[in-house]
Amino acid sequence: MPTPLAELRRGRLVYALFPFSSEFPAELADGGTHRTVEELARAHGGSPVRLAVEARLRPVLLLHDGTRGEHGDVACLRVNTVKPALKARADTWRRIVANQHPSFFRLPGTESRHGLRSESVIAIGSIGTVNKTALLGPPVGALSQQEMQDVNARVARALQLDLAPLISERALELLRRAGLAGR
Amino acid sequence: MDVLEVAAQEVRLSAKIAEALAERRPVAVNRYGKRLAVLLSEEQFDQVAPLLELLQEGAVVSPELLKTEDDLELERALAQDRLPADAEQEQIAELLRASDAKQ
Repeated sequence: MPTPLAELRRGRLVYALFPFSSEFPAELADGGTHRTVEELARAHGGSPVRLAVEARLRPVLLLHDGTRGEHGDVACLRVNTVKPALKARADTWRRIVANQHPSFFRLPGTESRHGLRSESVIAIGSIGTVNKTALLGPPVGALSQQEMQDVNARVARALQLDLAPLISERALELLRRAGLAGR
Repeated sequence: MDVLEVAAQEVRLSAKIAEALAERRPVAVNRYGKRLAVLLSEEQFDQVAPLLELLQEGAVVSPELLKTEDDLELERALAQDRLPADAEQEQIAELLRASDAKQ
C-alpha cells in the first residue's frame, strides 16, 4: 500500500528504502565488477549501468512536501538509530545531546510525536532522494515546526547555502510594506 | 580578539592540569557534569584564535573545518550502518500488518 500523497509533508518521518552510496570497486548486476570509475567510464561511457546496490528500509525525514503525484521523488535525510558505539565517542555524543552538533540532530525516542521507538539521530549531511513508491506505509511521526527550523538551519550550514540574498530580499519587502523603504 | 588576561595566582592550575597543557592536551573544566570551560596551551590557542575570530564575526566558515576527526569517523560509521535495530524491525512489521489489513 503506497504512502498516501497527502501525508507526504515536510518534516514527517517515514520508513523508506534508502540506498547506501555506490563506491568502487562496483559490482554490476550481471556479476561483473569495475574496479575504478575510470574503468566504468571506459566500458559504458555515459550510458546507464545496472549495479548491485545495497539499500535498507529505515526512517527518513522528508525535507519538502511531496503531495503532487507528478514528481516521483522526495528529498530526505537519513535517520540512524543510536547504538552503544555512538555513545562511546563521549565528546561527540555530549555535543549531540546538547543539540550543538552541526552534523546530527537528536530524536530522544521518548517523544510520541516523532513516532520512533528508540533514540535516533538525523544525519544532517545525508541528503538523498527516494522514490515515492519506495516509502512504506504512512509517516510514523513528525518534527515540530521549531525542530524543523533547527534542522533547516543546520542543513543550510552543512551545504554552505548562501541565504543572505533571500533574507535581505525578504527584509526589504517587509520594510517596504511598513513604508520604511522606497520602491 | 578580546581575551581576559589574568595573573596565574587567580587560577589554581594543579600539576595534572599543567602537565596536560604542556603536552598540548586541552583541559575541560566541568561543573555538575556540564562542561564549563576548556583550557588550551598558548600555542594551541594561537592556532585556533583566527578561527574563533571568524566565528565571532559571523563569517562563513567551511563546515568541514568545524568537524573533529571523531565527527568525521562517526559520519562514516553511520553512513555504513547496515544493521537494523530491533525497534526498527518491529515498526516495519507493524507497518506491513497495517498495509495488509487495508488491502
